[in-house]
Amino acid sequence: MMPLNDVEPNRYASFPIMTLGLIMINIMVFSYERMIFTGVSDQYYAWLQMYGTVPALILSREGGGALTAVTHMFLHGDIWHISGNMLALWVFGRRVEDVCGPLRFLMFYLVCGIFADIVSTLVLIDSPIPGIGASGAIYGIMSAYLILFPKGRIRTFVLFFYVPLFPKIRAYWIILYLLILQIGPAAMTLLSGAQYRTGHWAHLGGFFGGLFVFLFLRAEAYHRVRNTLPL
Amino acid sequence: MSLPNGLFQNALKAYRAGDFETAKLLLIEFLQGNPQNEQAWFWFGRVTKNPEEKRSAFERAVQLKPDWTEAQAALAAVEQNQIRHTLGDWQIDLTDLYGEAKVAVENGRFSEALRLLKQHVQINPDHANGWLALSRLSANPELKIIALDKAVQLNPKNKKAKKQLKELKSTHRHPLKLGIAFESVGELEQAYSAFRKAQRKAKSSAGRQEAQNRQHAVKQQIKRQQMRITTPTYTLVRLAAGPVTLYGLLLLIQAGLNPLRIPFVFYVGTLFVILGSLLLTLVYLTPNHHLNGKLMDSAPVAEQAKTAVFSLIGLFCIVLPFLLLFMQSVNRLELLRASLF
Repeated sequence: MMPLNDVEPNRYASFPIMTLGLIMINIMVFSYERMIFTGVSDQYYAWLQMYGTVPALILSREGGGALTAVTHMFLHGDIWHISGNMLALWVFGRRVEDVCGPLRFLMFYLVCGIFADIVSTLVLIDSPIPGIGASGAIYGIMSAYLILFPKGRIRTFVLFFYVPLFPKIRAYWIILYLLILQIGPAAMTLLSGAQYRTGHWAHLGGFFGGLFVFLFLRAEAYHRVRNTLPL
Repeated sequence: MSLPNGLFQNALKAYRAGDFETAKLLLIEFLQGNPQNEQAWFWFGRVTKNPEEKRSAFERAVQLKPDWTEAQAALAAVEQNQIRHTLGDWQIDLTDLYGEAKVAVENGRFSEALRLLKQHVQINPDHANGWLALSRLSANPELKIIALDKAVQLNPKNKKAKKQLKELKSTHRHPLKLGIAFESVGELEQAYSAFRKAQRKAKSSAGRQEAQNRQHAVKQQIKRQQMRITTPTYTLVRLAAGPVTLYGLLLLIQAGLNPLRIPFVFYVGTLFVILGSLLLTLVYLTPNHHLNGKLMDSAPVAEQAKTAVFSLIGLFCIVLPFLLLFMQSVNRLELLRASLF
């Protein structure tokens, strides 16, 4: 299941400048990486060690620290990684930015990404593998979308017995489905030390970090918006 | 974020739909950003039930637009009512309208008595006997129940009225109509119960759907009534929390997730970020906060210049700690680069 677009008829009050801006920055950084590095080389790995989140380096206070907490969100491994993340940001980010305004959206995005970073570091304590990607922050955006627009309809791509379908599905189904997908692997990581390419704990950290921020620091916005928007 | 005139328009829409509580909340928010808008003060006076608030609001409207006759008349009416209320409960029985209604009933002029009683309860909504009389006189079953319900709310010790109310509710055949009537007078909980009953008793799916829709709409209104209103200081702190949260989290990562390893200079940096955020929020986002008034009145220069200066100070206080933190990160990154290459 892959979300493709937000199809609610009521359009946005303002242009989603920050969402688009973040997407453009991610694409530019990815393009730069592809120009500088050809394939997975030692130099590329060193680049990831410097600008990605390496739990072992964070805990030993080596490397970029606070800087990598921000830079890791703009690095992506391959075209599928960046495409999936940017599509999700496009689908869910516009309406959340419409509610918060661009600057608060950016701050919320960064805070969710850093929450994801912290949780991932705490779980994978001595891991030397760099963590990269915007998905922690995007899960935070999805948590905000879940609170604000749970019944919002999303055009989704679904493969049903190899038949491609494009139904409109309520946002709560999609977001909860994507969240539940993280729980099993996250539990396996914690209990048996299993390793996965995807940072499931980062996703969970970003999601619950976003919930925390939205419900406690922005509780009034939630109350106000929930009772005035038609979704 | 809705624009101020959007708030005002929404408040008027809510007022016209009979949702006075929502209109009041929206007007409060609008007036926080536009305290010089006489129209908003006038409408606030109309939607609030509190007599002191009514009086203050109309007074403000008249202050802002002294030649506005409608506002002057509204203020005069409120002042007259307040004089009546201060006479004490037993005097309220002798208000002109209630007394006239009694006389009309004695002379067999029931429609006139009904009209007078309706006017009386609008001016004196806390007069239980007025509602009781209205209930007895009215032939409309919904109005009977509403008036009796009000009378019982105001005087719960009236057992006879309570029993009568129970009987009327149980024998009422059109709970949907009753729900609509309760909703129109702002008795949302009663309206919700009536719509639930209507949904259970509906004979067709269209009737059930209508009752369900109305139930849902009333529930939303009840939720809005329960919506918290924040104080200006709470709003100030909440809006200023963003940069501090971000800085705190970055600091924690920089210190290897161990707060005890954070150097003292960064604690000072946190204070700078807090002060800078509060200053910027005070200047831009909470202009009606009392501290904003003190800040802006303190320096003897033009307001725009003051805003620019305080904004620059606030930005500097926020940006400097972040810059220092990132500079330390860059230094550490250079050491890592040296070890990797």
